[in-house]
Amino acid sequence: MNRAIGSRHWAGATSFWLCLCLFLGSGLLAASVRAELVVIMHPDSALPSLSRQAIVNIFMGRHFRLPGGGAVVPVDNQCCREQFYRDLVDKTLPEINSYWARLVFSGRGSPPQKISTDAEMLDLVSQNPGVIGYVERSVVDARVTVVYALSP
Amino acid sequence: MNHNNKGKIRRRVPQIRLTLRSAALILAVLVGLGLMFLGVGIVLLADNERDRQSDSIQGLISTVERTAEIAVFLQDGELAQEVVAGLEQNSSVQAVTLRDDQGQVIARSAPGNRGQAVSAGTVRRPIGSPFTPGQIIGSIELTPDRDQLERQVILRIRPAILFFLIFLAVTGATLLVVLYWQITRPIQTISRRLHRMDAASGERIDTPRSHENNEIGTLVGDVNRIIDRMAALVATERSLRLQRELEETRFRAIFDNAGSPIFLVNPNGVLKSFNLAFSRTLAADASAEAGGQQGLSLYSLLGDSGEAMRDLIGEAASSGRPQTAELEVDLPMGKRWYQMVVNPVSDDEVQGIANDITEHKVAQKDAEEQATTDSLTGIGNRLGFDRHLATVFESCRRRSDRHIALMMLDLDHFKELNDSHGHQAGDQALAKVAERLQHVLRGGDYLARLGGDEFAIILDGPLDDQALEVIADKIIASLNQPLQLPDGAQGHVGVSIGIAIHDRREEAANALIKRADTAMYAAKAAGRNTWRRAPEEAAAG
Repeated sequence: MNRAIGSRHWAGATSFWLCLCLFLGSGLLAASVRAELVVIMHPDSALPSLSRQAIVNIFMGRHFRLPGGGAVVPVDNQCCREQFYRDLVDKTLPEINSYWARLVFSGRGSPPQKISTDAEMLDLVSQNPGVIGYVERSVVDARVTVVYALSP
Repeated sequence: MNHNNKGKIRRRVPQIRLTLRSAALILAVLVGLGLMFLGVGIVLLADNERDRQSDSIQGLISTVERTAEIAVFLQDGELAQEVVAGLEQNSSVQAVTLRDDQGQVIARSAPGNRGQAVSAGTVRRPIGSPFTPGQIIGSIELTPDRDQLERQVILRIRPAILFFLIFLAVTGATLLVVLYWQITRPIQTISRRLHRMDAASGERIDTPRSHENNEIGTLVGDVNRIIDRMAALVATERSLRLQRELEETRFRAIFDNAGSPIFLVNPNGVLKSFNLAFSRTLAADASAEAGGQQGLSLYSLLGDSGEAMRDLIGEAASSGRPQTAELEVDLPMGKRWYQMVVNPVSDDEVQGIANDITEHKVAQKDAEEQATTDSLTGIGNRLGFDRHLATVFESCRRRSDRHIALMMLDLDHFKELNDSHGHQAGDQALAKVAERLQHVLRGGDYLARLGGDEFAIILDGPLDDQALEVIADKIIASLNQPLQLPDGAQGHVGVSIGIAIHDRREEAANALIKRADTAMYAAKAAGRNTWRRAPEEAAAG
């Protein structure tokens, strides 16, 4: 019930039904419409994978450390930022922007740095063990480790 | 309505007490009912208000939920504090607490408003993650302000109370006016009329307007009927009284104008009332006014006859029957005889009439005197002698110390004188003899001519033989003096006297007379012009 009240406040009934349709239809449309996004880290990060919750905590500015204890810095990828947040927390970019705006205003922190291309992302992650980012699965190479796969 | 006010009103206008009391009773019931309904209303309203407040609290939480979620998600104290501060602005919120999923407080409202204790009615809602549906990351606790709730209830109920008070005031005023006009005023009107009215004049009370057909009209009708009955009674009473007064006046006139004195006394002889005739005669001395001077004593007015009157009235009072007596009264106008008729009329009242019988008495006395007097000599005749002797005998029988003696006289040689000088001379001689005898005798003695030349003397008093002899000698000597006759000649008569003393009580008058006669004849036989005493009473008399 509480959840329902929350949803109503956030997006309203319409967006709820829209989300439900998207979720049901995702299996059919996955290959053709959207590429699969994966969360990547430096191979030395010593973690084979991260939980979805941990990724949310890092990207939404809640945690600054990995569950294992190492410091971590999230980086946004301009190429697929919208899809990333939709797949991760089911939010639109304006919602994410407004969230960060609130935090910036209260001096709590700032949104992740933004990288323009997949190649830059791959370079950045492969060169900095503390950085976490995301790219399409198709561009992933051996310099990085996939710690989580976001099903579209 | 407090008591003091009521008392004041009652003292000042007691006439509307009925109205006030009725109105107060009805108002008391209304106030009771009103308080009951208000109580129920307050309870219902408080319930309603609590629900409303609860809803509003939920709404409040919903409003800040997103920010709260973020604050809890980020464990951000500052942001959380901002949420709390925002909520605190709302007047119906007393306390707010934000906690994470471990129960640790992230932010709470400043302690001081009403303490921080979680009171009943505190709303607690879990806070979910803003990014992960279904994940609970903390909670928000919100305590509604009960004082504010009460204030709200009072605020909401106030118009109802105000309305009720207005209703009470209007109802009370209406009651007072209606009760006053419908009940108290008609009753006051009737009461005033009753106070002023003269029932005897047959006045009636008007029914107060528009009350003809209700209870007040009936009451007025009943009162009027009673008044009518009373008026009739009073009229009858009045006419009876007038009649009685008239009769009394008549009787009074009869009483006042009666020729005979009429009086009313108590048994002690104190006059209570008397008429004009009484005041002119019996009370003339006391110069009393007709109509009754109080304290005048009848007995003292009657003088010597007072005692006899006292006896008469005493007799009448004790026997209860009328009594009569003839009394002689010495009045300024002379001695008068009254026949007193007294009649007891009540226990302490005796009514009396005094009939003046003086004329009658005088006539009677005259006749008596004439009957017992010898017309020739002016002394007693035979009848007078007999009566006097009877009276004296009666007296002797009652009083043992009374003594009498009887002398019988017979003139000697009177027949010759009568024959030689004529009857007229004889008569004159007899008159002269009587005069001389009278002269010799004392006041208490009685002289009578029994007939012809025969005289008798009843001597009163204790007389011894010697005294009697002296008297007899004096008589003989006196009569032996020559008598001057009308024809110029001188006549001579003698007298033979028989004396008898009445010294035995049982002796009859006739026997005494006979003894005296016998002695007189003995004197004649002894040569006349002498006296003889009857012997000491012979047994045969």
